[in-house]
Amino acid sequence: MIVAEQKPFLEVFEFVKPYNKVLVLGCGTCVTVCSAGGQKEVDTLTSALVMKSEDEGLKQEFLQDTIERQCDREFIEPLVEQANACDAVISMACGAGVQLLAEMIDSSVRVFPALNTKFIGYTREQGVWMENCRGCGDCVLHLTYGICPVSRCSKGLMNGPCGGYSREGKCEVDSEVDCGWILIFNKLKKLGKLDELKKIMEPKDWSLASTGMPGKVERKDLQLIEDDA
Amino acid sequence: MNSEEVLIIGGGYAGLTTAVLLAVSGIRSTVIDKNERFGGKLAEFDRIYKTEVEPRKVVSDLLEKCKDSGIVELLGNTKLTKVSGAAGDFKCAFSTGDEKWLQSFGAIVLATGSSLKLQDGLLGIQDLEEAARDAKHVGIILSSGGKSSIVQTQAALDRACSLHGKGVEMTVLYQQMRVAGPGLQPLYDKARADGVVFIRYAGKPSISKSDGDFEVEFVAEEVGERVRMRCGVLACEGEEVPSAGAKDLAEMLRINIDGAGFFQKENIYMYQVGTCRRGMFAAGSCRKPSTLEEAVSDAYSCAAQIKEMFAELRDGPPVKAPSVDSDACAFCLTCYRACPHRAIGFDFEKRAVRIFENACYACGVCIGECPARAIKLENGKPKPERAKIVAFFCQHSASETYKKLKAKETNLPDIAVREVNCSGTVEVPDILEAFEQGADGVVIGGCHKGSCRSLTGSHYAEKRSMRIKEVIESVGLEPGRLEMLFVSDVETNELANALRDFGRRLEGRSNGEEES
Repeated sequence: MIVAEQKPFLEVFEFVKPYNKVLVLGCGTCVTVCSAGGQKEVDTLTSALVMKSEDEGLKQEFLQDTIERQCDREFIEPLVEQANACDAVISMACGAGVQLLAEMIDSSVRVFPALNTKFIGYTREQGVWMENCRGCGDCVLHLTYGICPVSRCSKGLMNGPCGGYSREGKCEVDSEVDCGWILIFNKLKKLGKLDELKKIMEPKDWSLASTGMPGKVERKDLQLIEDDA
Repeated sequence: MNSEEVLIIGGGYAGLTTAVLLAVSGIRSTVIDKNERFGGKLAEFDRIYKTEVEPRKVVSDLLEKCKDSGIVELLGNTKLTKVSGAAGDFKCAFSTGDEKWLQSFGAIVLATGSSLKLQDGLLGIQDLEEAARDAKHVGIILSSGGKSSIVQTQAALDRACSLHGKGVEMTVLYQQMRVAGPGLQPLYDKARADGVVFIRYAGKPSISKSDGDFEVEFVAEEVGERVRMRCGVLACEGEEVPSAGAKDLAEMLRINIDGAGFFQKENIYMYQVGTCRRGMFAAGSCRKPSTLEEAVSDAYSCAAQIKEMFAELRDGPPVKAPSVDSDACAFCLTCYRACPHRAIGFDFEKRAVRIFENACYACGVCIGECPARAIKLENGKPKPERAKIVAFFCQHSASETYKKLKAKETNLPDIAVREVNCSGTVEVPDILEAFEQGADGVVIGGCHKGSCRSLTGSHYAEKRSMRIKEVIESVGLEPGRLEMLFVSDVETNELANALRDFGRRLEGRSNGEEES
């Protein structure tokens, strides 16, 4: 899922300070799972905004709602009217949701992000989320036995490890983080397949990655057929 | 339809006794043991426990009673491999050799015992009888691993008396004489009267061997001097540890273990044989190292509680459980992980969590934690009226305390109390709403941590109060306007003082603001 975390409250408050009527909109999918932008956080943020606004003597009105997903038009559609009647919308979705929302409502209504979208990750334990995919567009997990060198090596090395790992197998960039390549090495060692590490991986084609030009996945077979007749 | 059969894991003394007692009440049970032979420790080391009749006979008597009842099934070489469901209907998967089978049980009793870890190269107390037959002077060191176990103390006192009676000179070194068990004080008194020498030591004794004798050097506490003792035979108290596999079993059943690995952490609100899950019980040494008398008392307690629970479940779920709005549920599993009673499971058809009503204690920790606000519990209790202080008080602790307090005290700050099922159910937005509506201060009152009726409920409340303090500070309110209190239901003075202090602090704050 997409993992995100909230921006500092005052940053969000400053965004909407000049606006009279503000909608706080949560997203019910990934960011609910990682407790960044679900209904509870919407209620929490709205309460905080109301109190801060009153404290500053502003006459603002805050509305709130949470929808299933802000990354699908059909879920946003029912809200467009309400959003257009506001001066600003705070989106508690990931960056994808914020953008689609901004695209769908009047451009005169400002859309502000309440979250910083962090990464694609998993729940390591309740309250702890870890990145384990960087959307490189050319998965090599079959070569590295299920441990991703792109996201789990701080340097994204394809032929690691570098010389910087500690005796405990931690990364030199952050001693709390496991060295991804040591994890790969240990796993292959356990399986008696260390030979496979001797194969040199070719440089990655980063044009396929989500960090390059805007990524696009197109499936002709899934696209709708318009009945123009 | 609920099952009213009981699964007992472990066919030792505690397990078999529980089965016999359940049978007396007409409750069917199945006792499984990973070994072929039943009797647990009692059958394998009949030296540990001193019984009036030979331990083997105790086991065979119990087995006979089980068989005679006609409603106890005994399955050796059998392992429980998986459990799902809840009290009244635990769906259990078993393997007996290569055979795999499923059965539903209404309740589960853990009776997996403990085992004794002896110190390297030293004799255990239970082996003294044989080893000390021809000795002149025998030493026993108790509590060498810190606190003495009652079982080992009993064995030590018993062996000391019997060997002394055979003319052996006996010395028992100890740190704390634990006699808080049935029959232990008289046994200790008898040993002293007979002439067994007891010496309290400090620190760790050093043990060496010379000329075939043991030489023990230790600090005798009464005189504060190092003393040397020679004895022909020396026995040391071993360490009682949970049986192999207890940890895995606890993990599979999702029940808590204490620091040493025994089932159940101590909690004043729980029955001693209870676990965090309704319908799962622990009896005997798997709960804490127990004497035979204690194991019997556990077995009685289990049988009585199971009987009561079955009767209760016949009338439907014991409490009104919260409900899940499956449309709003993000299936994030936060509640599943947080539920102190493991009452939450998956409903893959609805793609949402479900609450097992029979397992639920309606603490509402799930509500407090749910990021989607998809879980609700209507307890019919009205929202508090507006007041200077709004309080969210746990029905088991702070709310009870407050009722008692109000009956005798009038000099309390202006406070509106909302009784909640557990402090752990109070949601962050609930508290913020109270501030929004103009409360000067908010108090959350829950049980003491470690003695919470919902086990971890007040921990959750405390954790959330930290978050709320951050939020209110960011909007310009003093974090001190939120107060988390831990009180038991009898601490009226403590609650009164805390509320008055809080009231005064709030007062001081608003006066201070006016002045500036």
